[in-house]
Amino acid sequence: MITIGYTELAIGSLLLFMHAAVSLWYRTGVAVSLLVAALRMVVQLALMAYVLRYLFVTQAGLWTLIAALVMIGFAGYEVTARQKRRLRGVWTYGVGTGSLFIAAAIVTLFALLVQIKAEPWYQARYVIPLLGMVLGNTMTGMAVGLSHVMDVLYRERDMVEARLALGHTKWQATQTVVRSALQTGMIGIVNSMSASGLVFIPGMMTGQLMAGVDPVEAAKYQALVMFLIAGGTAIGTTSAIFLSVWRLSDGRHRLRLDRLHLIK
Amino acid sequence: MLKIEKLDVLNIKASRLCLAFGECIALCAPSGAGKSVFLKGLADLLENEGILSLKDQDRDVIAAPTWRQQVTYVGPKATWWDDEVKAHFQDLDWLGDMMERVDLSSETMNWPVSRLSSGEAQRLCLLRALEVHKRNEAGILLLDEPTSALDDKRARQVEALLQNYLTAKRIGLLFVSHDERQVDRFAQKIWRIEDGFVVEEAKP
Repeated sequence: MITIGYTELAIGSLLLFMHAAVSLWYRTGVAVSLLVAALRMVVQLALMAYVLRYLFVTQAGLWTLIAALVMIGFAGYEVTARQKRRLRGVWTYGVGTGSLFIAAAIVTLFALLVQIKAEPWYQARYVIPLLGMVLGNTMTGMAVGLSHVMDVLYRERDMVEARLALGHTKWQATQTVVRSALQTGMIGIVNSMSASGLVFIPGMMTGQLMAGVDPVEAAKYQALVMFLIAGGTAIGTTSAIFLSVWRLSDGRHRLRLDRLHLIK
Repeated sequence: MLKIEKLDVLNIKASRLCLAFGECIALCAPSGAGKSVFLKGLADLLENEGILSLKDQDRDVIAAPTWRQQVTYVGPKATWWDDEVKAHFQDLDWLGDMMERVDLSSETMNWPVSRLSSGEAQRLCLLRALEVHKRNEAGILLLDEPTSALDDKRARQVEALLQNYLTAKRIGLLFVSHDERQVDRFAQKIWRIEDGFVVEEAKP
């Protein structure tokens, strides 16, 4: 495998500075956030690399578990940070992080124990990259689905309340909202599965190809990862949406938008 | 009958009020005094504390959806959850008959809801609630400005339709209206909200 030198890496980052210049000239305000995000990315990747290097050497299951939990925690935070309307109290992070945890745990354990079967199964070399890919994609779907369900419940509250007033249960009354939120949350993964192999080669397969793996083996791995991501997104999005509806209504089938607040 | 032993919903309070089947009561108060809040409280759509019963059955022992199928609130805004009018109803034969009685062509049920005028939408939303009551021997309707989008002639048609239900003692009616003439001619009693208390006023 060809390694990249730090000089070459620095030259690569010049592309970013080019756009930053344009952004400053037109005062789009993107320059700062672009550079901050780039800097964050570099620092985070470097940290991750050193953590992985340590985990690969020690093979310590406990530390791998801790790393996984930290990743889930950050992903949960990212999901919540993208919400314009949020649940009050511990539910703010509870719904996002909880659903992510369930989805990521089920999917990753399933893959490690049933498909990959490494010895031992908790090797960081498999756990962390798999979890990362599942989290990254599940997070996006969930953030979209959650935003949708909260925004639409708020916007269509008169409709939901009219249905409740006619004696519909809270699940019947929110049916159209839940349906469209589930669809919206899954669009991303459906699109990326449809386009992969035709329009683009997904990141993981690209990595394996460049590392010299046989293309067919790389494709098999990629297909498995896509299944996992789709499964994770489905579990995470569904659970987050239903938890939100459950939280935004009560035992007497009332709409409880007072449990929601708008972030300015 | 609907018995309100005690109700407190968002600081609108009421106690010892009764609404019998066949009775038609107007709820009067200035805008913003809490008329809608009170009606929604009766339908248990807003968090509230209260002791209510319908036909001597305590509200708290009845599941909320079942309660609302008998104590049904119809809001001032027409809302829809499907694209077509008829998707909001179950019994289309019944709907066709009822539509004729409030001056709507039964053809209208095949329209998309986006084509409805506000008056058409308002009458259809009332019919939607009446259809829920088809199953009940007797129930309560809580109508929040039921004829606000209708001209005088059509408002009277709606009143006549409701009067049939009232005469048959199929419903008890509590309605909000800003039309004083309608209150005069249609209501038998008036409930007013004074300083957050709902009180019954004898009609002169």
